[in-house]
Amino acid sequence: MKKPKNNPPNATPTQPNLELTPEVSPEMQQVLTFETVEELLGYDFRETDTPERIGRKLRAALPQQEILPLKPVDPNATWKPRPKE
Amino acid sequence: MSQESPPFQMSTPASPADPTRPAPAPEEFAKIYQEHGRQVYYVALRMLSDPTQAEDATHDVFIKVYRNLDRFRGESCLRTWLYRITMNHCQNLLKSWQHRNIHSNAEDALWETQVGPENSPLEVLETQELGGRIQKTLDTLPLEYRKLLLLVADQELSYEKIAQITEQSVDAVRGKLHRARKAFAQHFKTTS
Repeated sequence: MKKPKNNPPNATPTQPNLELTPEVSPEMQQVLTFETVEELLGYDFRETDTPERIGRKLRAALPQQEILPLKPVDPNATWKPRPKE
Repeated sequence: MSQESPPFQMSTPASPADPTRPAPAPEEFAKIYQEHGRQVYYVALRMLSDPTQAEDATHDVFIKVYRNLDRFRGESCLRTWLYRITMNHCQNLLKSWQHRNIHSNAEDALWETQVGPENSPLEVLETQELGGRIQKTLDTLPLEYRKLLLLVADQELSYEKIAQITEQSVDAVRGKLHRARKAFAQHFKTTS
């Protein structure tokens, strides 16, 4: 399974039917390709920030507990499909 | 529309901390939050469609975890247990909102819409809008499909564990996931 890729602005889009116009900004030309819904959701999970407020509220509610910051998401994580059963 | 499974139930409802019960070791609870807080928040966010409610829900889930940690031991995998609590909590919130008409599902009509071809790769422009599009798509799906897709997106969960969490057979999970993926892919295209 290939990793979602952020193409550089000048790269050729991986799909021929994207209909990008020359006026499109470099940001707009970033193309992400996902082959499965779970791959897309996995990417969304990694890109979603978790508010630090949750930890602060837990610390206030459970002062005897040592609430530590959440583990960061590995930015290089790639989607690994489940083995065929 | 698929049949909704009954809401998940913990063995006993969360109650105020029992003073006779020893509190979890600080490092034990801290580790659970540190390792699983992101997953719990993400599932709550995508189930509830509201960052503030998801924040509150995540907080409440971990309070439940803290109060019931001694009931967990040895019963199942921690991740499975956490997902059950999270989904049960969010499902109860959604039901209470529906009863009070706080949340209306404006996209119901979209669910009936016929859209493009199936099973083609999902192409996404503008990464900033991606989360919004995913949320909009999930909001159009039946709750059971939404739950299954969020669970299967966690690569550490096998179909067997997803079946345990959602209290149905592995075959039922596979069948519903197939339909859920198709429905997601169809509706995702309409959100661009």
